[in-house]
Amino acid sequence: MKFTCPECGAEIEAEDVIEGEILTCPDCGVELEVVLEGDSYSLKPAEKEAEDWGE
Amino acid sequence: MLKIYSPTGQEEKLASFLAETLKKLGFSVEIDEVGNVIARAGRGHPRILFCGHMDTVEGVIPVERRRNVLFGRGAVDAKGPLAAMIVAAARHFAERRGGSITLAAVVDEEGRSKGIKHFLAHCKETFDYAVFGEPGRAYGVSIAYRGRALLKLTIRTEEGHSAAPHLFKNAIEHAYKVLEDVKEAVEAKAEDYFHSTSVCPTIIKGGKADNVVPGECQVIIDVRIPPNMEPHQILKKAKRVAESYSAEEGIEVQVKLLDSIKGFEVSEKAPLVEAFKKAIRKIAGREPILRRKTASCDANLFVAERKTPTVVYGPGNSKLDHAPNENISIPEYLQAIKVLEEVLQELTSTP
Repeated sequence: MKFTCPECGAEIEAEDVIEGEILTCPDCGVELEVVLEGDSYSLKPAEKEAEDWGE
Repeated sequence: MLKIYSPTGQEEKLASFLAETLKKLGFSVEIDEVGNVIARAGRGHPRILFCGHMDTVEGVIPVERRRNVLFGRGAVDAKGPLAAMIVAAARHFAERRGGSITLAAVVDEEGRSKGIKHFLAHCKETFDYAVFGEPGRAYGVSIAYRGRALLKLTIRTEEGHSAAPHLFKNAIEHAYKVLEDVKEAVEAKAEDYFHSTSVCPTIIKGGKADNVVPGECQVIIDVRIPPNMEPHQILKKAKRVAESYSAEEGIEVQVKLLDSIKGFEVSEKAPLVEAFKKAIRKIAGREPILRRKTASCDANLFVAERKTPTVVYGPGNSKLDHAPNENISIPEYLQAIKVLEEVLQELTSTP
């Protein structure tokens, strides 16, 4: 399955995605959540918090 | 700013560019002896410090915009956050709002923090609030950082021939035991990782030849501590462990504190934090995330000396710090500027 990164436009390939799965764009590194709209999947920036330890 | 490559030690060109830009924006500007750019605007209280760093890690990343994203070394760590503070401060005074801002763009944050240390030693001003610019998303504010005690253990024994290891105490083998003992004495698990004292051995060196029982082993231990703990308390505990070994028994243990940083935490109810919470709700339209970080940054040094209410804020995903694809979301950057503007307005309009 092919997606386009909504942030940087890069092409993202993923197999057998499921709703709620988190993908990372290989180009810009943004984390994207797989959302199911009707019967097709799309990506939106994930809102989950990753570990953020400091500078 | 991204097009001016400025790894640690090579910040001069960016400093000149910022000094010129800040002058045009109405700030009075100086570049100090170590290369920090210090810009001031406004008058009276509240006195607010905006502090960011000009240096980046090494490695050029071509500056390129792709849709919503701007790539470049320093995009998130931390030219994006520094630029957001500059724009917000300039807009604040363009609107003829009150208070005063000192904007410090410092050098060497990725090195030995020479910039902030020099600023602290020479800046006579006092501040009511401080914001340090580091990426943590436009909707997040870091209100606490852990401290650090960097320990060096030196374990000494008698050297001997490695064909007869049963006759000698091996410094490397005993280093494992000393390390375990120090870990047991120092490590403290709390309800979450931030409030815990963590112990991580990071460097170990020992032995000098493949046929000699080693007589010396050095272990560096990175101990991270919550704000209610002092680095010297860690040193004291480690020294107590060292004293349990003795030269008479053939094992000598020395402990040194190589680096110490005090942690800090600002209350979730502090006016500065409240101003950020209000601004994020208004501009980002969501609940802010208040973070307690398990590492440390330049703000630790500032708070330890000045006791000023301080938070760390800036656009960008800190997972991209030092990464080869470092980039920042342009809409998020613009949102962070608005959040900072709101914060300034709130702080300067509160009696």
